[in-house]
Amino acid sequence: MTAETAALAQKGKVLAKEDFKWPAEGIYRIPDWVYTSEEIFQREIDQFFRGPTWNLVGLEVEVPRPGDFRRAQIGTSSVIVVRGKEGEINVLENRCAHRGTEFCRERRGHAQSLICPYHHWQYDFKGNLISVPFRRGVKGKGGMPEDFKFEENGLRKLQVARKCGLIFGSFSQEVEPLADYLGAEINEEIETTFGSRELKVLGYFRQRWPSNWKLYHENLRDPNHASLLHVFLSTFGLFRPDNIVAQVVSRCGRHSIGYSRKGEQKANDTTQQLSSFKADLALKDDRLLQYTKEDKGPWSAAIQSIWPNCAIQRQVNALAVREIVPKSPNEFLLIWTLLGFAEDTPEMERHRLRQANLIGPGGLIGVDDSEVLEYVQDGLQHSIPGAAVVRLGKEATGTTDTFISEAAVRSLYQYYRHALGL
Amino acid sequence: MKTLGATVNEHRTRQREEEILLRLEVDDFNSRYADVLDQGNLKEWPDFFAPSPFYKITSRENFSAGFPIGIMYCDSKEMLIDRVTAILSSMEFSPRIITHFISNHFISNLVPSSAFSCRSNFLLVENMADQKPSLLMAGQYYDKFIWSESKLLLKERICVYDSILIQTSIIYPV
Repeated sequence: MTAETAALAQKGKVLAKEDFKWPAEGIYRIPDWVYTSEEIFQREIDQFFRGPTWNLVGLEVEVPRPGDFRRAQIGTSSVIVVRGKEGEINVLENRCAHRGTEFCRERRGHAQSLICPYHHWQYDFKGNLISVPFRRGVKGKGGMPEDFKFEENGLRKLQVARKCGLIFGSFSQEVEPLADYLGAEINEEIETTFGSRELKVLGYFRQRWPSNWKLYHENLRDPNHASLLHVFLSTFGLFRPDNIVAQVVSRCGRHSIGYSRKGEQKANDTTQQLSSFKADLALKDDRLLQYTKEDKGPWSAAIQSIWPNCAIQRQVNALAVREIVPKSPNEFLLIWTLLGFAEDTPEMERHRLRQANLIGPGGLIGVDDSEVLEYVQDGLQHSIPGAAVVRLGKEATGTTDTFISEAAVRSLYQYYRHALGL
Repeated sequence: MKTLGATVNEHRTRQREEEILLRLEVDDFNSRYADVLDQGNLKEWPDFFAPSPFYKITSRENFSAGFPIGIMYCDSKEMLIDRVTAILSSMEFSPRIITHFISNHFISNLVPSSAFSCRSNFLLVENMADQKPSLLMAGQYYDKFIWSESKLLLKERICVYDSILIQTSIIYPV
């Protein structure tokens, strides 16, 4: 054994997967096991997805009439988002109180009531059990006991909150109000992006990522990669270190917003350091890059990473919300809902559809991320265990006005370690 | 003198022959289209399209519900060319080999020697280093063809995949 492999083996021992001892460098290191351990994954599901957090479960416009429903996932749990008789929105666990059946199988639709196909237990839109077949038995035989209480056998009802047409759900009874949970910066950015305009769904992308779900949040909070990995972004000035930028971090550290103002495709001192900048790359149809200003703010791109399951993106005029569905330490699904507004002209809608080429599983930028996060997970899973180095930037944590910083990633892990007691 | 029945039969036979010939034309077109993509000659891909074409890849879910979004959405020939430029010079991805299988052509809306619609099945197999071959996508093309100087060109190709989940990334055109 060479000295080098001995050192690696020693490092591997210290950071053994089930050891869960955070490296001594604290916020400047992230150990591999947060991305690969089954036990950590289960703790995340319990603490974050089933704990006191708010999760995006859909849009009001997806369930416009009483009886309209759509399915969603909070962590590994399936939930039903259904519009009730009084126009209220209910979020119910998709698990029959009788035998645990995940009974709602359609992605979305319209129902008269919620009925489990197995033994026909029937629930109203608030999740209350309203009928059980043969409750009194047949010919005096069988049936439910007299003391069986319907009110104790409904579907699990989640907390529900709405904001600018977005619907959030929580398994926790103790969760703080949504506005407090999101904090001032996220509230303001959601209002800037959507305001009171009626949303219009342009469609969905459903994408499997062979990587840990947190890597996705980190990717959204690591603006440094954007100008290096994404040749397309840096070349065409959509996202570059010399743009006017900000990486905002919420007070609690768990949410973040990356802001950028569109620049030009011209060479300067910064682009000289960017091997990703290609001055000779030209688009034949530059409608892809044209920005039609939609709000009073200064930013042409705002990417919100809202803990634990949500991302909201406006990149030029391409709008989307994304739901993160963790499947295992090594896999998550990303459900994209592509959006426009009801008030859009046909030309504006077409513009958004065109600009959606930038993002998603076939996106001119999007592909770089889904590919590279797989490379990261491959490295974390298959190599001698180690720890990521997150040293970039002067500020340890919090908001920065530069993209050459990893402060927003450090802020997230400061929160994460506290929440999981690591 | 021919009976009416014989004339009708002759007409039917001729119609059937024309349809089969057209299917062969489409089959030939799709074989060449697939070959350009499978051999990695991406720069030739836009040549299969008419001026002002429309090209889109979308899920059965979006297509059936009438949602207009596409994973790739190109409403000009320039956008097809830009897509190829980006794949060749700016996008980051693992190397892969994709093989197209295209079959089952159903022709409709035939305007003789001018235009027609066609629906075909496609199957894409993806091969990547260190991984088993996988089924990348299965679905159908909804095509509008036009004749241009005795050559077929795509006025519109909508690729509708039935496989709901995209496995990580779609790099190349379908």
